[in-house]
Amino acid sequence: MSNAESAEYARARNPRSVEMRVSARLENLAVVRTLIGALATAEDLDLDAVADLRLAVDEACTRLIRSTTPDATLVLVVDPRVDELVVDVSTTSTADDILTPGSFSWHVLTSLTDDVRLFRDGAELGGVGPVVGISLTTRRVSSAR
Amino acid sequence: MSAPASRGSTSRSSSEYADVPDMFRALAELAEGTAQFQRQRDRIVERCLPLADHIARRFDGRGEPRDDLVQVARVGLVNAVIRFDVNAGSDFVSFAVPTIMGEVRRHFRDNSWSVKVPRRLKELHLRLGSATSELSQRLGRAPTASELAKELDMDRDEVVEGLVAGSSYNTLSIDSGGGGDDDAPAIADTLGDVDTALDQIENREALRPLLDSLPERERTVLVLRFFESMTQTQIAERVGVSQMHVSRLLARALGRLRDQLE
Repeated sequence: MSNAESAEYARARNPRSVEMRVSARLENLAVVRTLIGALATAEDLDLDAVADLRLAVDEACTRLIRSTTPDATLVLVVDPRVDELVVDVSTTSTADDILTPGSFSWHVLTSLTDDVRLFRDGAELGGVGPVVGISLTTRRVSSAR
Repeated sequence: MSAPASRGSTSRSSSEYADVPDMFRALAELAEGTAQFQRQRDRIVERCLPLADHIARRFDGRGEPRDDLVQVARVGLVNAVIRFDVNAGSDFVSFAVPTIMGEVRRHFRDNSWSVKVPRRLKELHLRLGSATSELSQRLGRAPTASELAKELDMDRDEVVEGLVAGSSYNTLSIDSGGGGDDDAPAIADTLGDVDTALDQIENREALRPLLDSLPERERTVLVLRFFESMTQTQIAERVGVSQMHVSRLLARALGRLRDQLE
């Protein structure tokens, strides 16, 4: 599934999902963090989970940005589900060491969220290159809903 | 005291103002408080305005309006002219520059954007802060926006907005008065277990010295969050700062490690 398709899929699946596209540059992370913080707060994650998710998205995006080129696009899809919030961040990259299980980054991400998944798709139709991404899942506190 | 024609590099600016010492000597002849005294002093200020404007330009582009900077630098100049003692033997320019710079720096310190938050938001931020700690106690975890809204009997959207705005206003944080970062009590006993906790990490040999090089408080919150699995709220309570501050310390520490682990 390509970047664009996964976004389409998320939107089709969930009318509340939000997507954001920015250039894959570190200076864009401030606005990314703000968006994630606002969405997670509005989605009623508890404040610790919001703060953790901000850190996690920051970490994941930094990994991706460092493994791609500045003219690449960083795509964030936030998908609020009944009992969890899933954030997919992805970009185009040929690097195969985005996030190594067992690394410190991996430990950080798994400490900050309930589930971390790496995903990788084939070349897009337009030939932009293979898509790699990190999927972060944060569960809602049970008593909130 | 003759004009310091032979003085090296510092003489460029001084020689531009070579006539100023004589103006001060003339001022010293006049009785303080008289109209002539006032007029002579004004003349000196006017004469030296380029000096103030020059310093204001050096601080340009740091987010403060140009006109304000010039204004503030000129205030500094006036103060320097008032305080300068021509008989003390020092050069007016080398006396005035630090005085003017000090005034400009004070301006930046007192007027950085984060202080100009509307009062309404500051009050909301404080209310949210105390409600958050109360609810955290009661629930045993950090509250959600809905829980805060219910507790404060406020509109949920307003609470969300307040929380989001609050997280970007650094100096608003409840603990901002708490001074530097490294004066917190060190929690030495919690750091003893780092080695065992590090066992789960593959590149721990590289990580270890980096952890050691972190500032005390950043290392503490990092270890508590990632190796002792405490929540940010629990860490905040333990270390004695706000959860928001814990978050900032974690972000900073992770950033440092990231840069160095590459």
